[in-house]
Amino acid sequence: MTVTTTMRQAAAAAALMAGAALALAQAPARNDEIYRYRGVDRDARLIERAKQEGTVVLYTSLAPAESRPLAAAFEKKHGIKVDLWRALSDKVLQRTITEANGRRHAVDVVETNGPEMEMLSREKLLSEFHSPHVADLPQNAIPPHRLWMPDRLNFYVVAYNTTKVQKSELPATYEGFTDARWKGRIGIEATDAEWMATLIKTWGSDKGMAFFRKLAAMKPDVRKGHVLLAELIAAGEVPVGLTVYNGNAETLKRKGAPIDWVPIEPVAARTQGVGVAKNAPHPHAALLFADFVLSPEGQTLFESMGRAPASTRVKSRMKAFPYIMIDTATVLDEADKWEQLWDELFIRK
Amino acid sequence: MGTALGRTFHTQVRTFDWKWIAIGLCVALTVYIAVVPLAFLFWQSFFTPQTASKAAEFTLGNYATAYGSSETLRLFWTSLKFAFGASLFSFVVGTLLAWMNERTNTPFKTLFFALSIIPLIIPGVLFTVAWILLGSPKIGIINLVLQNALGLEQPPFDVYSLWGMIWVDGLHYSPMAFLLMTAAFRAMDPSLEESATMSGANIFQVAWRVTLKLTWPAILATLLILFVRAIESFEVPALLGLPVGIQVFTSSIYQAVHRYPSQIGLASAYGMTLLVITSAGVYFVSRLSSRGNRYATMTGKGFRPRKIDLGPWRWLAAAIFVVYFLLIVALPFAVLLWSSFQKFYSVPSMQALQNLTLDPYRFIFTYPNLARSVWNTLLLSFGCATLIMLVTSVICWIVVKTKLPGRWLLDNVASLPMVFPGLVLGLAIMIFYLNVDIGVYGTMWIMFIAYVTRFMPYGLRYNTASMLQIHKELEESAAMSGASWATTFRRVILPLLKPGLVAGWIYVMIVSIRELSSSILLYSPGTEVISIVIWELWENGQYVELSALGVLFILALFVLVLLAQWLGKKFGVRE
Repeated sequence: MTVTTTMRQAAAAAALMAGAALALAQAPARNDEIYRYRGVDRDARLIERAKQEGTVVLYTSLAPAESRPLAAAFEKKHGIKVDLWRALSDKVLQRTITEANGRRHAVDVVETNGPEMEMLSREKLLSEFHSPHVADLPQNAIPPHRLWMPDRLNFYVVAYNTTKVQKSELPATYEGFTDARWKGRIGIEATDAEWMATLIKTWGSDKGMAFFRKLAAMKPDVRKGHVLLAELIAAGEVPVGLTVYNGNAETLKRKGAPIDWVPIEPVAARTQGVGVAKNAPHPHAALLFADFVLSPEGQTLFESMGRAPASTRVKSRMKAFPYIMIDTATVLDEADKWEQLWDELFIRK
Repeated sequence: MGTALGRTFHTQVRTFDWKWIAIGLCVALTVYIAVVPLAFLFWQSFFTPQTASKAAEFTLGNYATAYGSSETLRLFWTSLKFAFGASLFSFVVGTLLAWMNERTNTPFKTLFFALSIIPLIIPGVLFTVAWILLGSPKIGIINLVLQNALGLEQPPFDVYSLWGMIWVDGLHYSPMAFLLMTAAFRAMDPSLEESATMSGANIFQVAWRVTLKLTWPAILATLLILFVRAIESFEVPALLGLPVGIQVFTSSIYQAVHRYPSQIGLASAYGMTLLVITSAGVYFVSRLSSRGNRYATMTGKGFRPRKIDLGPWRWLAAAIFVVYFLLIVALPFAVLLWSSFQKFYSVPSMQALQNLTLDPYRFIFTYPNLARSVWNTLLLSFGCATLIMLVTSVICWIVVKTKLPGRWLLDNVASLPMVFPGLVLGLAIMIFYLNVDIGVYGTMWIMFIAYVTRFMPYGLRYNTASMLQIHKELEESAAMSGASWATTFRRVILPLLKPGLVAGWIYVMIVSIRELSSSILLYSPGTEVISIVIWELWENGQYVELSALGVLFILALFVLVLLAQWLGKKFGVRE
């Protein structure tokens, strides 16, 4: 067994360095076998071989304040080094695709936003994997092709500056914000077309369009970046934000900033996902890491850092309200249509 | 003159000369560095994006999409207004400061030199956010103070406007104009100014009629580079323009890259407009500077730059400096300093004063991989600045001092990488070196290549600003006295070029420390740089920690600049 593993490692290394076509052609099939293995000795075998691989390369858009503790917890538990590369989700996507096109297979695991995970699936860079923890995930959030699994949720909530706005002032519905008294006091993030799409689909086209036209007439403050929007709410520049990620607001709130958030129905939930690379040079370590992220242990760690875990086994205040899953694949297919509408309504003034 | 050149270029060909190796290497490197991404992007602009389900196809559609809509025209017009305003504003501020610093006896000049560069050191997002906190109609400190003091109904300033954008971006890049014009002024013979003064002209007549007229090619070159840089800037329009619906041309480029599948072809097609504008500008400037030695004032006749005595006016000049620093440099710095001692940003008040903490600094000093990032950054920026300045000095010599056919093209090719936003350039370099595997991918070298590509055009402009002022007779006399080309270059050209070399070196060093847009794609675990840390903090919403890092940054670079100045003086040829 040791001999074969060493040979496999050597093959993986050769594929990595020289980009040898033959080794490459064989790698996905062999990796698939590892990812889908369901034998009784799965866990023990996985841990043993992952340790022999020694390293796992992770590309993620998870903030360093969270990705570092996650990597550290994994390293501590299994003694496998995590090579962490962090960038915004679109860069994670770009790098993964570009490297694959250049036949440089460096990445083992990818953890980023749902739409980008979906794009990676369409580029055929991910493989379906089996993990005992998948059963704990909300089944409506799992994509039909099962090439990636949801691991975190982000919610579009209303966040407000507690010194400028009283909680009792806030309306119970989004329509309430189209009242004249909110003019000049509300803000949205510049790229939230999928939020709009989800709300319109939930409400039906007539009601939905009517609301967004009214909202556009309010001329909300449009800011680029969800983190910036949350910061500006805390600083008092934008008294109320309608499309704030509750994780960002929570982080600031925990630091003592005058900001709080409330879920206003319908709350749209975005999934973040984890997936293993089809051509991963360390397939066992890749799968072990995905296992760890989805396990109650990894999910509880997310919870403790103010992020909403996807697993139904881990309770969290961050998701203790009714919500609607954003349909990632549909959003991606209809991106042009919704982005055009969003641009018309909010960006070009 | 022509014969002298002929001698340089023809008689020496007969015997093999090492200078051809040096010149050839520099030209080859420059062409390679610049042409690889340019050719790649040009090629890409004729193709559809490649995906797993659909291969790339030849198309003219990118150009049709880019230039077929009135929307592009509208965005382009906004961009032109913004870039024109910002470049003119930074030019005026930078040139005034450079003139006072170089041509007059304003007191405390040495200190002012270092202070003038501070806006450049502050990372773009931080500088812009500092101005939001100063000039926003809702929470801007300047507005709040003025409204309280004068009892105004409306806030007097609004940073969210075209003027606000011009102000913030113009200020941020005024040090670039300052450094370029410093190089130009320093390499100028003051005897002409002296004659004008003797003939009864006052200080302003001298400055206007003599000083500025003589630096005309440098002025045009400076305006050109400021303009192109402003037109491809992204941070200020995104943070200040977007909330009020002011969109610029670059936002189309970014949108194209961020779509799925990534439309690099479309982004390149947009970039081609900037390419044409820049080429036209470079051509115009080079035509002007090739008109013999009209602007070369540094001749063999006992050249010694002397300062204009402003007399009592020098205190006014000093006062202008002080006001500039209080308003423009100290205010954003104070905002940074204030927020770096907070737990989260809040408008200054007595209550917030009780929350002062050192936590952000503690956080920065214990940031993982900080030491490695700093080391990588220093290595990269030092190497990049040095290589660029040396190579472009040779390129610039060829362009300005020889009559080689096609030298204009060389100038242009070396200038063109600046028209592509860093993100697009980074992507082009990444794709190229993944497919042409020479072992640089995933190492520091690929970042080094990216930095050199991005900043070479700037280095070239800095050298050109100085080179234009050096008269050919200086190297001719060296050649007549039997010096080889290498000796002449090393002992005559480089020392005379020092003002441009030092200013350009400082500029490239600072901007490559800040460089993010291509670093973010190209770094790997182990080759992190400090700008990644800045970006991580920003994306994490750790504004106070970022401020703390910004403050440390400014202090460190301030020391560095003073050191560079001191070294420049110590090993300089003059003073």
